[in-house]
Amino acid sequence: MIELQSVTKKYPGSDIPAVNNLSFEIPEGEICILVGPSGCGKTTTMKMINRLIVPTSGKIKVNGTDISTVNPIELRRNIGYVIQEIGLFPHMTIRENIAIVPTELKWPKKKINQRVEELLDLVGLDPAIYADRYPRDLSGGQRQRVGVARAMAADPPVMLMDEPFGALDPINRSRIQNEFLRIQEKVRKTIVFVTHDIDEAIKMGDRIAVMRQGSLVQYASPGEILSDPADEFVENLVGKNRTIKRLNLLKVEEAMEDILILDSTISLADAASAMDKAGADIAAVKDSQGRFQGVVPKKRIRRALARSWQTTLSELADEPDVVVDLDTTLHDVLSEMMQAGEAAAFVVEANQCRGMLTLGSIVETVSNNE
Amino acid sequence: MDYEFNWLVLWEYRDLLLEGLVLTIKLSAISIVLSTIVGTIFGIMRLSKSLIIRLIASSYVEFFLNTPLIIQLFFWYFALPMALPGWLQSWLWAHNYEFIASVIGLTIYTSTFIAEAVRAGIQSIDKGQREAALASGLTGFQTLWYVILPQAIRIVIPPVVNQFLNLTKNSSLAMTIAVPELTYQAQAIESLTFRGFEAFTAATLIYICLTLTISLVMGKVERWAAKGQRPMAA
Ligand SMILES: Nc1ncnc2c1ncn2[C@@H]1O[C@H](COP(=O)(O)OP(=O)(O)OP(=O)(O)O)[C@@H](O)[C@H]1O
Ligand SMILES: [Mg+2]
Repeated sequence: MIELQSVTKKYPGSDIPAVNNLSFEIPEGEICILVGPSGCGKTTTMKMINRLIVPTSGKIKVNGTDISTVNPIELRRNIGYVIQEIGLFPHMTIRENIAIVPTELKWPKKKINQRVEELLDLVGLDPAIYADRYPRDLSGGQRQRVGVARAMAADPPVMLMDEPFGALDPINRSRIQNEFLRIQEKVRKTIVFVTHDIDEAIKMGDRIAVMRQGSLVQYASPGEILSDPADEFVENLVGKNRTIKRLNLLKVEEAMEDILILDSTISLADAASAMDKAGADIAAVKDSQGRFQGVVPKKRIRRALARSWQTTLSELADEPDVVVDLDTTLHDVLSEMMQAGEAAAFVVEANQCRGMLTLGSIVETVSNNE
Repeated sequence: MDYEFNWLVLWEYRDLLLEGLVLTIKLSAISIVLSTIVGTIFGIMRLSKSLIIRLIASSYVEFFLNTPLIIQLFFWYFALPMALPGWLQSWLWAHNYEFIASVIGLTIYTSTFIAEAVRAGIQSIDKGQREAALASGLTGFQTLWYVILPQAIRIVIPPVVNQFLNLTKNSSLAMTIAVPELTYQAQAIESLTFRGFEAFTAATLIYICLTLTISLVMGKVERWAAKGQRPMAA
């Protein structure tokens, strides 16, 4: 748990405090997002939590202990920090960069290498290719992922992440966000996360702290921020399309419709009548082992029957263009559907088709949730 | 021109040249090592958080940087011993004090330039690097040792190599306090044989070989230090 109690920071030579009387609490295991315009004091707040900067006044507690009473080196080893400028060490390989804290902690070499490889896998970089390269050989996005891996190296219970995914393209960003949330489900770290992207804030945050000129404007859950912005400033920050922003909060699970699943061995005529009976325009096809093969529209079966084609259900079934997971956000599903030019998405997990989403089901879910 | 070259004198007095060369190498090598250590320490001190340490370091640098080397040599050689107790004086005179004094003079003089290069090198490292290192839980010393210095060294090497070359050339001033190094011996050959042209040509060529060797070796060191840090491909 992280507690800030009336924390103020005035930089020398400046009249206006960079952080002004800031008080809030981040419960253990939650992600708190700091958002706000450039210069509002987000980075300053983070640096005070790991004592890179000493507050002018106020108190900060991490897991109940006043941080001004503990050894800063000890404190920082228990707080992973992804700095805004990434800050990889250019003269060290990716492996050495990630291993820096474990090496200081004198882990055995074998354990360090294992950990490095595990972390690179986690952030989606192949250790065989990247571990022994230097940072300059990596793209900005790849370096950022290494920065995240380095902060996680010694498995710190608290993480400070300053725009950790800022340099990633939208597709990779959404992938790493999902991966990160999945890991967080398991490890339940206490995380302070800075972003400029309100969609990211809504998607990643358990709570959002909106800051302006060093002060806290609103501290609430993403749902509350959307439905009940504290003032005009928060309203502008969230933007006009609050309903659309809500798509970041909703998961596939909530908008999914059932889908008819047909055995690939049945005849086309049986398939058509089964679909008629269920009132389904489209069905999923599974093979004899129950594995998902593809989807087939009723129209296509009818046409095949009308022309007496010698074909099977498996041959008529197509791999769908948009395949998603149960915990993909509706925002991501919609953008994938738009990109593919499809009106439906299919939920496939562990080789099983779990259901489907249509534009209609998404709209209905969002309007029910307002 | 009536001057008849007689290069054979060089062969005749080869022992003198060789002795001079050995002493020049010794003098330069010892002073290079010491001035690098002293210069690095003062360079780092100039960036200290403590005002007193910064003041000490900058006074040292400003004072010795702005005094002619030959005056410094004379000071260490002629003036300093007079301030010392008698037994120490006689010990010094019995132990080649002219050599010790020239090492002190060359080391201190050159260390001021190296201190400036080290300070500039460290200051040129992005401050995010220091922050990232501290945020990872490294101590101040570890941050300097593992993160800042290895990167600064690449920037610092070229100006420092220049100082090594200057030092090697400046070591010829040691002849003024009777160190029989290369220039001293060349002059000795001249006064013995009146073959000044040959003697000083030989000395010149030897100095050139020495400085070229230093440049070559340090070029290798520089390439080693630049690992992972060559300019990024566009
Ligand atoms: N070391 C410093 N000395 C003096 N002023 C500083 C220093 N660091 C930051 N500031 C000032 O404090 C204010 C808050 O800066 P901070 O870096 O915390 O903002 P931020 O919210 O992280 O901004 P951004 O989104 O651009 O990263 C700014 O006005 C900045 O100019
Ligand atoms: Mg910032």
